[in-house]
Amino acid sequence: MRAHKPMEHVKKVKVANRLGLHARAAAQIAKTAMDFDSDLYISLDGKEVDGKNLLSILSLGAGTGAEIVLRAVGEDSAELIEAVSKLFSLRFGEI
Amino acid sequence: MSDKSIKITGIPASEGIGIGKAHVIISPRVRVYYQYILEPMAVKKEIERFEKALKETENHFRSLKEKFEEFFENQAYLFETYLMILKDKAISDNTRKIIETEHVNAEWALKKSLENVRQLFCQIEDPYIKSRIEDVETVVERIIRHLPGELNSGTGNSFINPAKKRVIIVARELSPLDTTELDISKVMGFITELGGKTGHTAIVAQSLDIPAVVGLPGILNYVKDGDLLIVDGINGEVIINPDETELENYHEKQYEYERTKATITRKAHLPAITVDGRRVLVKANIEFLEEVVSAKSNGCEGIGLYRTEFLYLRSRSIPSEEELFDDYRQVVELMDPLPVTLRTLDIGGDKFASRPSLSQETNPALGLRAIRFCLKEQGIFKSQLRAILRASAYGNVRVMFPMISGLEELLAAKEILEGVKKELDDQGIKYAKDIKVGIMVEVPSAVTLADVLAPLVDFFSIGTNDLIQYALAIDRVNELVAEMYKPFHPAILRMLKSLMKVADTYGIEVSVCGEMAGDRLCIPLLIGAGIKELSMNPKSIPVTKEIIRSLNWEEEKATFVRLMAMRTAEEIKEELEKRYGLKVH
Repeated sequence: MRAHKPMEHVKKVKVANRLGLHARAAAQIAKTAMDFDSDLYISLDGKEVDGKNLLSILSLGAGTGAEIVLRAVGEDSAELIEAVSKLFSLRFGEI
Repeated sequence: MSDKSIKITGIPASEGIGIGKAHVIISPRVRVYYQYILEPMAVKKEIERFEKALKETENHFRSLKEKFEEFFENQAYLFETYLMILKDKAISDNTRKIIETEHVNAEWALKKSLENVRQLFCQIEDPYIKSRIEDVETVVERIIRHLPGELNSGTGNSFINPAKKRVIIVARELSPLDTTELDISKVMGFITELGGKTGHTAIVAQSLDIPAVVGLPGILNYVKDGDLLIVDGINGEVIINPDETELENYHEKQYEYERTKATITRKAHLPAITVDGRRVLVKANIEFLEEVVSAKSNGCEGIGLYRTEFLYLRSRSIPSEEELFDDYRQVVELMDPLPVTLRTLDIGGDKFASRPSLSQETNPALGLRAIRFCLKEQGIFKSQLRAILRASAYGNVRVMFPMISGLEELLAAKEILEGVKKELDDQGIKYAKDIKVGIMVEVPSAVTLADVLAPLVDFFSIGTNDLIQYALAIDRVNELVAEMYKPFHPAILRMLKSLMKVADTYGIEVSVCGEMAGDRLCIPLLIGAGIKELSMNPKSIPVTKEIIRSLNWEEEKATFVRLMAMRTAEEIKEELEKRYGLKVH
């Protein structure tokens, strides 16, 4: 059998909406991530949390302007990162 | 009644007077008792009880979500968020575990889970995100309400509805969830301990025309269910158990208020003419087509400002000329023969998802937006101008450029407009050849250069919100400085005066379309400065017209001269409050 390392993709994004990663924004991330098989991890200042869990994302306390690292592990990790970072660039549909 | 009457003053949040019985909502905090479960079998039952509550809460949220999905996307999203919190491991799994290992009742276990989450939130620095623990609290509280049994006597989901008669709702604070569950037809007033003028309760109450007073710390200690209450949403007063005389007085006040309101509404369609015969046009600011109905029913004399951004923001991509034309034509036809002033696109590049490279501006208010953006993205601009010109064949259209700061921008914009006209000519497409062209005066440099810009335009429209923000260098969304945002600042008054002088010289119409236009203290000031046209949100039109009818132009002119001599915003505001603050409309 061929040993293979799970695929991993990493991307840095910035929280651009005025209110930061509050419940609604975090819900959008978790909901989007759940559509994929890969796992998502989100980190800020060295603290990494489960990106499919709303309260964990909230616990990062990422305010506006925070630089966040998205890390996806699994087969569809590239697509996952793509989908989630799009949420960031659209500011979660807020100002 | 033996209870003595008590009068408490809070913040007036929605006008009107309500008299009725109190319906106290002890919410959002429910009382939770501790129970130790002795029998191992009972633990299993307790978990089942919890699962049932989870399921019911989920169904409840889902049905609310569906109810709002069609029209209130924002509300629907709120329930989506609640559903996710509901299913979060930190809530559901953790609570199950606590029931199992500690042999406690589900309520207590839920409370412990909530405490764990609260610990997590305590470490958050961002104040807004930190405050969102409220969302988690709302969800937990809702699960507790769905737990069947003696402790909560099955109040279920409709804890607000038990009221059979019309009541005054008294609560600590009302969340969006609370208000969506309310049977509004039974509510005569709102009283809340917390909240401010722009809080959720205030907004809901205003939109429903229900009197409200908020910001009454400790009110729940004074009011019990069934107490007779008076809510004075005009002065921000609440009277608990009023005596006979007070009741009589307020019944009269209520009657007076409602009669005045009815008169104002009845007279909404009549013109606004001052006591000494000066006519002032009152127009509407709208954001989308559907608002034309409300603008017309409130007696507007035209659309003074059609903010055209909505179509662009809704689709997140650039709408086609046909889409724009179709929308503009409908507004114009509906308003005809009254004029419609269309403001060209007033947003920045950051709003276009297709242009992410533009999204990194540190200071968007001073960045690439409005006319600056349009002059750079001429394709977008031309297509909008074509749509506007084509619509002008169907009624009375005026076009207005936002954020003009100097001559170059105005010349460039006009040149593009002329180019588009020529294109239409060549294609044989009809439009109003004499279409009036104006600018928003909202950048301070445009005030200084008014005499240079005036010969090139038909009208000025003062956007007071931005003008004040730019002139005083105050970001009013920034709560650290919001207090310094002062419409009565002497610098603003001087700008107004100098602009009016230029406009007079060149024979140009000037209107005001910022929030000042609908502010009862500002209206006399603007009339005194010589303004003959105001534009505001449709709902403010009837009252504004009535205020104008009570003014004497000659007197207001004299007052304005006096105000001009004052040196601080405080002085000016005090003087205006002395003159107009107490009049109740």
